Amino acid sequence: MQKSTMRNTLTLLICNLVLFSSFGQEEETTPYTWQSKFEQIDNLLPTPNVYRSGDGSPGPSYWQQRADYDIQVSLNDDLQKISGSEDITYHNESPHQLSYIWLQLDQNIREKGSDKFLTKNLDFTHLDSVSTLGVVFNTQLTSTEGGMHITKATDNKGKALQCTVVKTMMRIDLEEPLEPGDKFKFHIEWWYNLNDRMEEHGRSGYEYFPEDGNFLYTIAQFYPRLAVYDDFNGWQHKQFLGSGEFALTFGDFDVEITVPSDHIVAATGELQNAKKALPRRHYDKMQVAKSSFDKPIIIISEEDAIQNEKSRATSTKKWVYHAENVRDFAFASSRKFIWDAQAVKLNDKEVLAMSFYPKEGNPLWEKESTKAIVHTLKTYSKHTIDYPYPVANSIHAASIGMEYPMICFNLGRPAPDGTYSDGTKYSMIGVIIHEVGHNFFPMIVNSDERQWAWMDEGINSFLEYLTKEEHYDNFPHDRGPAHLVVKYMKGQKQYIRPMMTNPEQVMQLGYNAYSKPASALNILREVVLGPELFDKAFKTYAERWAFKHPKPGDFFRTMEDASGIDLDWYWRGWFYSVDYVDISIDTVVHYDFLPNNLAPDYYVSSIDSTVAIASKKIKVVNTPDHYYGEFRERLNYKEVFNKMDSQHYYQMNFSNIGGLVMPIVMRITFDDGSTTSLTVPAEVWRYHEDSCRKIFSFDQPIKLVEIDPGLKTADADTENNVFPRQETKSEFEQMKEQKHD
Amino acid sequence: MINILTAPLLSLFLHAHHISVCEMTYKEDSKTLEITQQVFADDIELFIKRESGNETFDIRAEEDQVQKYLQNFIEKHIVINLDGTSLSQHWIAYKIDGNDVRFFIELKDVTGSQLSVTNTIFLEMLGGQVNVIHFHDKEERKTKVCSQEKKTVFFDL
Repeated sequence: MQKSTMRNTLTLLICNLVLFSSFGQEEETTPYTWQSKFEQIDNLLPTPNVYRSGDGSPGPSYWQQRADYDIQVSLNDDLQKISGSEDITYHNESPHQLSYIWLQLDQNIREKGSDKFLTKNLDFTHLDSVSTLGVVFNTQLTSTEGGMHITKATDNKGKALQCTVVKTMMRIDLEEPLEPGDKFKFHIEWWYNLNDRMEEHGRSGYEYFPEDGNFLYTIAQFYPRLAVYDDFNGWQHKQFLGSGEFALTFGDFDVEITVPSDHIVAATGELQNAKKALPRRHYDKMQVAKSSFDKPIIIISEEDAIQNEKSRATSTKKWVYHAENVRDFAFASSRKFIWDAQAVKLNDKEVLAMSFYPKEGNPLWEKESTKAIVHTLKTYSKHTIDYPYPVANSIHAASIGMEYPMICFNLGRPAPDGTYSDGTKYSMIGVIIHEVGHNFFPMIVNSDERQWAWMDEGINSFLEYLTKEEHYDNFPHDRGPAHLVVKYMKGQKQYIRPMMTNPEQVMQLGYNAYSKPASALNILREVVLGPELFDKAFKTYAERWAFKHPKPGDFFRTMEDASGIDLDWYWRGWFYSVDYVDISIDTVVHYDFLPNNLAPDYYVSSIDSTVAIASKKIKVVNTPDHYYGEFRERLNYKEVFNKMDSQHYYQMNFSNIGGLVMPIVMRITFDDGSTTSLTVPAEVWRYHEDSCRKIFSFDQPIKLVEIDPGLKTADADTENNVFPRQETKSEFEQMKEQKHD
Repeated sequence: MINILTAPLLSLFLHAHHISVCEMTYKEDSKTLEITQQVFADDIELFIKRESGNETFDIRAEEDQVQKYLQNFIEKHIVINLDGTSLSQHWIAYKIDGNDVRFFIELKDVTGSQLSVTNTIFLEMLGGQVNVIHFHDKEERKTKVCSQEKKTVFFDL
């Protein structure tokens, strides 16, 4: 219930004038340097042009390249080796003539002595370090020869192409320049050795199961892929060092995957030869799953999978996939797969959510995986665009979470006896939501991961949080809520980088690119804009940039353009700086009027006190003429006094200790115990970024003022959020007391 | 990308910089030193698995199964001397919050002039690990960092 009202501006102005003299008496404040926290970020963003508009939308001449792939790939289960051939059609939609094109050879990061290892900072003081061992293993000890071997590269007439491999990139020089609007067709053949993911780590590779002698393959970055050529960077061919992920061009894929005939395959896209590839009973179950909207249907049961583990086929089988408008392709293959599927309805679209896991993932996976996919598709579709692809797969892969279009590889393995802790369960659900969620960012809203990790990881972690909130009771969040990022943000600045930093330079990437942006967007939604304005603007961003290549400026500009709120101060503070939030309420002084407005001013108590709300009596006097503008009506001070006398006035002084400017979210408690909420917009700091003063009037006396009582703003020091200051028990003291109870 | 916060093995491989934070508060009235030490849950779980050989160690299991390991860990890796004499720790509790684990320990009869703090948490396991110590007394907060190069730091009482 609202127990008080703010008075109109004019009254407050007069009150201010009356109090004017008292401001002059305040202590001198320490000088500070103005840091332009409310200046526009225009000088940090690219100048809008015909390709990218000032409102954050793609410009009238926006263009992007396209690459269509026709791939034949074989998995050698005896040698753990991939070999393939591809026909690529590259469409030059740019207004530029191209004399060469660049492809990514990501597997070259596994070459001995690759830049990833050469540039890694290491100290050899501790041989037990996993980092050190990983590098030594890769550069000195591994017997597997890593890296991609290109065995053939020809144009569509069979003529050899001029190729130059530059570490993880390859340039193909074109005999004839590729004109705008033209396409270039070419052919590449290659092979590479797969890595043991459990030993050497990596986003893809294999896991070997010694008990039954089978491999579980998760295959990605397995073919030479076109780098992005765009209006912003020209070619994005920044070398792959391991942390900065991928920037990829959209296209259609036709892929034939040849594996041992007793393997089960899952992949990006729709299976084209299901009738041929699947035994009849599995095929029939899959048809049933397509109309099962309420629960998953088991297509391959655990018993079937255990039976299949014992098989050792010498023949091979082809699995044929087709995928449209995707930026990449990945697949998984094993004899060990259990398979379940459920249909999801999203407006007029029907999607098949599918999980593939070995028996080692059960009983957890059959209970939670497909359910988590369904939840993700529903929540993300609501906030962005309806999931546009026909399938969404979740594949069990110990120790990692890694995303590709329509398919992702996810951790979460129970103990050998099938038991699992809540920690295992919730981290598995969290990873599945996160990796399936990546379908939207960056697979559809296709940001440049090599340059900006927060644009996919951070935005995705934010939606991951919303999904958990919507579909799970009391999910133990490890990021998303504001308070979970406090410890990081108030930490030692030497270990913190701004979010607007390339992922290869970032320290504490998990906080920098996941937790901080997730909290920043959550705070923007809940505290600054409110869900209604935020959701509209966020959806606008997704709709504008679905199947395109957005940059940070396109996000910042769209969020402002669609919400109608200038947020440059917010981007500056949260995205470009390492400031943290700490607003202190320093003093609260109660002013009321002398009886009959007669006696002179006097102090009742010192206003420096932080243990009590000081009181001061004031007198209303006639405003001197020179404060009025020409011809403005004069106020009669007696009338003003009569109107104001029934109210209680409070001056509150705040300081900004952490540096981040933020709205001041307050809860006021009145003498009778009732409360009201007030929020002062962040612009209150625009004159002095480190301090501000406010006058409020209420119709009854107040006894307590609290800043951010709901812990919604990531305020680092909660002791200075309360006035009068209260004896608060530290967490240490609370723990000690609990122990004694 | 790889979900580092929840992917224990990869988190070790990918992070070049691991940070733990230790808050020490000296209470002059009671002559006690209150210590709150924070570490990442996935890191400590892995560490204890390795140290103890107990491959099924689960930090989120019941307290009576976990406390013994955690107490040993802290006693071994936070060593505090007062003017050259080692002080014994009084275990209070631990708390898990997301991927954070916080330990609460207390030192009693802390009267003297200088404390030396040796914080070796994960220094042997993780490249680039740093352990930040914030020392608070009545007047101020001092911050020092323990690392592989410098395992011991000093604070004047």
